[in-house]
Amino acid sequence: MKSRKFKQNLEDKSKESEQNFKILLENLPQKIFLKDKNLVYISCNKHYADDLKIKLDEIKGKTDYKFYPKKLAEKYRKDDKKIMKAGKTVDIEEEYIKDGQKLFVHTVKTPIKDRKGKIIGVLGIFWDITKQKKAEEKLLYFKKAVEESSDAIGMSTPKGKHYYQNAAFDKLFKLSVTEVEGKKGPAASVYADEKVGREVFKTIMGGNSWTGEVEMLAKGIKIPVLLRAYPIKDEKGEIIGLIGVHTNITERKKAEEILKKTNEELKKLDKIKSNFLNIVSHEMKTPLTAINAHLGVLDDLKTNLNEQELLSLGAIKRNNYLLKTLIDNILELSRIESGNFELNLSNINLERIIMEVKSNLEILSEKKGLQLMINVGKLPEVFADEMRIREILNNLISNSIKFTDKGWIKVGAEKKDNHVVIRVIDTGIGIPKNKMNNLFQKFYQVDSSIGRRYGGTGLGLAITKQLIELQGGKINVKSVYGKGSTFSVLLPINNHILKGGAK
Amino acid sequence: MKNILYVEDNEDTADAVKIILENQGFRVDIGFCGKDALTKASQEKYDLILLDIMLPDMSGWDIFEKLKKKDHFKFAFLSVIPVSIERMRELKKAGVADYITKPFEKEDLIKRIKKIIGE
Repeated sequence: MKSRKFKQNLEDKSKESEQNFKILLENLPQKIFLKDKNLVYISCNKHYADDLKIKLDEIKGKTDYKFYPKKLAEKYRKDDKKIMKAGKTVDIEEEYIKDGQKLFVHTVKTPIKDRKGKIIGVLGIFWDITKQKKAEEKLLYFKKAVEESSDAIGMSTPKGKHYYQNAAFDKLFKLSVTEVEGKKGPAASVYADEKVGREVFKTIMGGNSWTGEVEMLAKGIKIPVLLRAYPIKDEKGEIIGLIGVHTNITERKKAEEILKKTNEELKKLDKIKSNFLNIVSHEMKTPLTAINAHLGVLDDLKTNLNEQELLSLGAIKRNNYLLKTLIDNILELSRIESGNFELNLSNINLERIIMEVKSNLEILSEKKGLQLMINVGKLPEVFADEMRIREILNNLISNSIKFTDKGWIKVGAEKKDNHVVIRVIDTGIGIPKNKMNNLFQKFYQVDSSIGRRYGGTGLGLAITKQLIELQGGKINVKSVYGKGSTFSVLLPINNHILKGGAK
Repeated sequence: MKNILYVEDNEDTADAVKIILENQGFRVDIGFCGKDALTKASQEKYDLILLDIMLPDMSGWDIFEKLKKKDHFKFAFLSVIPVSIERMRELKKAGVADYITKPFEKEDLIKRIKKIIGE
């Protein structure tokens, strides 16, 4: 009785344990199957059946050929045979097809033995590792990128123990792996200034990144480096590692240094040039003043000069004047070109300025028997440099007088949209078409004999153009050779650019 | 007759300016250096002191500074150094009647001198 009860108990227990074991198998996330020695499925757990899209009991009596492409099925069976032959458990990663998609699985296959130790089948457990595999693959890209980077990259633990550096790191710091591994950070990458090193370490250990140019030592030699240092944090935000990316900026620093030196030298040269021009022109002006003054004295002497004396005096006067203008023009142009030039801007009355310039130049035009006419309508005030506008008008009108022997010079001005257009029109010798392009070039004269015949430095129009453009304006010229020329100056009324820049 | 002291170290220029201004009916003394000018200014009363800037012993500015407090001279500069409009305004505020640049035009010089001490 007792023994039967015991047996019953034992059977119950055994059944219960079998039941428990089944539940356990069912609920394991892994896929589990059992094959006999002919590699025919005996059973599997629910996860595997679900994967194969069959019911739990449908697997019995089937082989891999039923569920997998031929090639894959053959591979699985070959593995199974090997395992049974060797009698050893195999642990592999392999391909797997589910719903026509290629996945990766981790498989553990074990041969099953009967009580006598004879192998009677195979137990397989496998699980999907596709995600992990993909992540690993992705990591390979990053790894390659880091390994091949031309930046020297080093990684260490939060305590500063080195555990990785790429090839560029070895090259930059002239180290080998064995020299670095396990050593504290500063042993591998030494800051020329320890204070900086401490600052960097403190910053990244505080959870922030640090970027800046530092000097580091490679076997005692200083190298300028652009350092970007970052903490690596886990999901909880805890720092689990440190990364330093070092760019060797030796070449850049050298280039910067050269550029800086060149700039300094250019500045020096520029200063020397303008000093030289200043000194020369001032030194030239002193004797010129004496000549000029004595020419004035000669004028006052009311003695009768003969024709030749008058001619010579005239030539001296003309050339004295030319020399004076030349010095002024060269000085002015060099000031404009060196940027050492300030505009004195205000709202100016163009009408008044044109009339004033006219009255100054009237003597000249009268001397040549030319009519100087002004035709100025009502004009708005223009934001410009009065003295420079006067100079521009003076240059253009006196130019017209100079190159006109018969007829008239008309000066007109009118408002046109946001501009004022000033025109200086003459009935002078005009400009040949092929000389128009060079008209505003320095030291350019349409005809080399003109300098002698009409006087002039060849700088007047070059300066005029620069002065107009400096004030945001434009100058144009139209001419018919032998008949006359028209110079048009376009000045902006409300010069926003100049206004923005003016204090 | 109005009295002018012209301070100028270039003798040629000084001579010419003296003649030009005397032709206009002014009396002109020449000072060839700062020291010379200061001595003359202490002995004679001038209606106008016309100053060059670069002189061998001191600058025209120095002479101006020294004399402007003492007497009621009028001052003008005659120099190769150009000045900006702004600087010109400052100078006028400081008591400089005019600033003429060299080389000058005779007519312009006479006109401006007459404007300062015209009869």
